[in-house]
Amino acid sequence: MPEPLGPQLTNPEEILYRQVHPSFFRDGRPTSQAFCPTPKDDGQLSVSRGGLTTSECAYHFYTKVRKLQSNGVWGITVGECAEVELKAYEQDRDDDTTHAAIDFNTVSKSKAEKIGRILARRAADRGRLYP
Amino acid sequence: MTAAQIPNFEAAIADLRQLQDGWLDGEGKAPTEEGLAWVARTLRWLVRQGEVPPPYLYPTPEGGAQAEWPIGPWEVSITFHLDSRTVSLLAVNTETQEDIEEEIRADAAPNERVLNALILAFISRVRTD
Repeated sequence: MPEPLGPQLTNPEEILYRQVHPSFFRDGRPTSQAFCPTPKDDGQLSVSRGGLTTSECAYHFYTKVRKLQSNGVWGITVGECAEVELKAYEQDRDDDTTHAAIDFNTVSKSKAEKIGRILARRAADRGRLYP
Repeated sequence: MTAAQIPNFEAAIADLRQLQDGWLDGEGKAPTEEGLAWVARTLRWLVRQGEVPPPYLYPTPEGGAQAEWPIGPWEVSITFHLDSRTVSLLAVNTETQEDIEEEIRADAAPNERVLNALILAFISRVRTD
């Protein structure tokens, strides 16, 4: 069951930080799979809002507070999501008010995989933001 | 900031062999040794033909493997579904959003060499478009 979404993010310049699992990073490049929800994500790609936190803080929160694995932080913007017909929303959590979600539930699985390739390219062009 | 490097898919295959079930934060199935041997044979054959560079190679949560090539504006990938012995081929132009996709069952090809040739032909479509 997807988590409820808050208000839509509307600043196209706002960067959204995405944590990339170590197995999803190879030879300096993240896989497109890191930019497409896995089955446990219920169609919502978790990100942190660049307007409310930094890539460094997002990384430390993810690895030290949530104790999850991350190779590093990569970024895509709200505007880049809109270019592929996706919307991003606030999605506060009790312990994380910077959390947001990109909603893939409006597109088919096949379309989501294609979008993942495009978002991964944008993130790869931007480069790893932290560390 | 990290720059992409020339990929070493042989090292990636060695790393994929070490994965255990649950490798992706508790989910994520480990690929089988037999399946990875198939992936390795296919990628070695493709690269040996001299028409495609070595790919970036990653595991998939379903216990498969995905090879990716950035080719100009295109993102080209082969997803190896090891259980069903199927390959999903996908090319997406990241500028125009045009896409090409194809799925091939390994047992639909008379032998592995023919399957590999079909995969190479798919990638070549993008390289020549």
